[in-house]
Amino acid sequence: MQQNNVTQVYWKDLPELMSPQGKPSQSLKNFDPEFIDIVDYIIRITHRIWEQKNIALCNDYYAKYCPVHTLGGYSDDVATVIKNTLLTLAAFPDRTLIGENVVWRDLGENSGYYSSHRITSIMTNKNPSEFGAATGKSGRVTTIADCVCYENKIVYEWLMRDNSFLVKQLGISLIDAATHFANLPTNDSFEVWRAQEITRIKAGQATSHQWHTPLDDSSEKFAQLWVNTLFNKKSFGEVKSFYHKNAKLQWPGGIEAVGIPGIRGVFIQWLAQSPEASATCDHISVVPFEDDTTDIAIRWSVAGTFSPKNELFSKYSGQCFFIMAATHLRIINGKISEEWTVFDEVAAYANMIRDYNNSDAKQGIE
Amino acid sequence: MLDMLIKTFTQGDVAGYKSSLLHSSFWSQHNTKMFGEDKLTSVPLTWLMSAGRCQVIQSLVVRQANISVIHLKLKIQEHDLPINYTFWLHNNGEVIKSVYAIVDTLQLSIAKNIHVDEITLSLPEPDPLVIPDYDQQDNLQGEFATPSCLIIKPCSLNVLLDAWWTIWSSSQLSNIDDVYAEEFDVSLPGVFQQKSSSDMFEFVLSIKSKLTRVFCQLEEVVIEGNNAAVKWFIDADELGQKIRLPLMTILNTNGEQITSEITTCDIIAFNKRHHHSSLFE
Repeated sequence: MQQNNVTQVYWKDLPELMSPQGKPSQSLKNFDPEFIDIVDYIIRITHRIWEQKNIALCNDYYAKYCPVHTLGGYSDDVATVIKNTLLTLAAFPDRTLIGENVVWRDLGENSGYYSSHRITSIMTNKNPSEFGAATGKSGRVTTIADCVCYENKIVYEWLMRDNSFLVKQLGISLIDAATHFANLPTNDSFEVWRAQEITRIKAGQATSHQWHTPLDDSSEKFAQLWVNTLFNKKSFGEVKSFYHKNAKLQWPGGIEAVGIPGIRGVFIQWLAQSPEASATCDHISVVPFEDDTTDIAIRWSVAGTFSPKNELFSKYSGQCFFIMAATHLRIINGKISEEWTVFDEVAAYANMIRDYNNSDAKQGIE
Repeated sequence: MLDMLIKTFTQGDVAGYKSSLLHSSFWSQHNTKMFGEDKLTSVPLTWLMSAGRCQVIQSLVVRQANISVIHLKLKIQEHDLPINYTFWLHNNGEVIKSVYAIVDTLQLSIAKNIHVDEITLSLPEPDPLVIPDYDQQDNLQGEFATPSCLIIKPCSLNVLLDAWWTIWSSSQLSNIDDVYAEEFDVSLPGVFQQKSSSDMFEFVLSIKSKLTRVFCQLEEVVIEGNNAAVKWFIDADELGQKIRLPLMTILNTNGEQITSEITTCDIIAFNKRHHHSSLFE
């Protein structure tokens, strides 16, 4: 894939990222002129809001109406973005966001840019959070924030955070965190969206969020095949055609694998908790990295029926299993050398616990 | 990079160390991946707290492209026994992006006569790790990584390294006599200088015999001249539970046989992560 001059964060230190010296490499229609490209925009506004604690800048960098989807909730107004940012900073006062990569896509003059921003956050839990009481412990977590950026504002966001990895570091069990989360209030808009998504994914339908600007053809095919072959067809013998023999994979909750047998095991064990699940490939971005290397960002979804292997979750068997996930792939010479997959297991389990608690089955047992 | 590491870990040159790191750099050691200035600064400080000022009695560097593998054999003041510290650095010559480091904490414990429990307490909590179960057999698929399949450029060491790897990957113990020179130095985890092939034979057996469904996975191989560095791990079942043992090996060769080997793993950090394990008892 042809190289371009858009900011590449990998070898750049923070001062350099905060004061870019290069000429603009993208047109960025109606963005502030200080930004030289979409990567610069994402990195700098994230730093200003989170590290520099300028939460009010959300008013400048988010549209007033901005749908934000997570696996645990939905909001569409900037006031909620500000409220949630404030609550997170109160619970984790030293939260630092380290930008690992931004994989982007030009959506065309009238739609702006799509950015998939992979972040490592480090933080200390000093006050109560969505997972329970303060633990005083520190942890790190991988987040992938997929945003549509238009005329200097984020106008749509899908936010995936590896909360199960975080809660384990805080000393909270996954089921305790999910149970606590399930007791927090939800809203109708979220439940409507979740029900619609589950129906769509089970039917194998494409998401309504489609853009038609061209992608690198082979990378797009690779991403589509990766979802269909592994998640839908369950052709795990094909793992070797997607991954190098020493490929590294990071999945939620501390799942780490290297090499074909281990990676195959990750897919088999994970999909065994919803064996008939369907998956959809919801968005693809592709950018060149170094030399023969390409970065692909995929947002994908899975829906099926929960068939737990863990006894702790056995009573939730039969509930709707729904995942909204993001994956960053580093491709060298046509195969994956490194993968980061992120979704919120805590919210996924919380949704099933809430469904169970609200179901007739639960009423009957009691 | 070598000078920076020596100054940092023997003299406490924290400023030089910090200037070689990026905001996004991480340091992985004791089964914990550390990000951010606070945690990264704690790495040399914690080492110096445990070991105090020390001397380098041997250093080795194996470099290829953006990877530098640096091994330091350190001697603590007023103590004679050496400690192996191996660093696997991803760098561009100016700054370090990531470090995987293994310090032999059991050697530290022995050298300083500190009780293992005290060292265990001083280590950071290991990162959560889930090893999903998998079929460790190849089933005629040819899917396993070997040194020669990870070395991209033509390399005269391919045959030798593949033979060395079979000792671990296929328990091909009889290769020990073929791949090691008649007189060779080997430094194994927790144990001080060894000099015979029977030590290597026993070390491999001592690990393999306590585990079932053993699978050895290569992560990276770096070659410079006649020297090679290998980053790898062992996955296995022990008492029905999955364990993972990360290792780094540096091999010096005469082109045909291995003349010295340093294999490092962090036994105390391994035991802290896998409480149930009796692998190193």
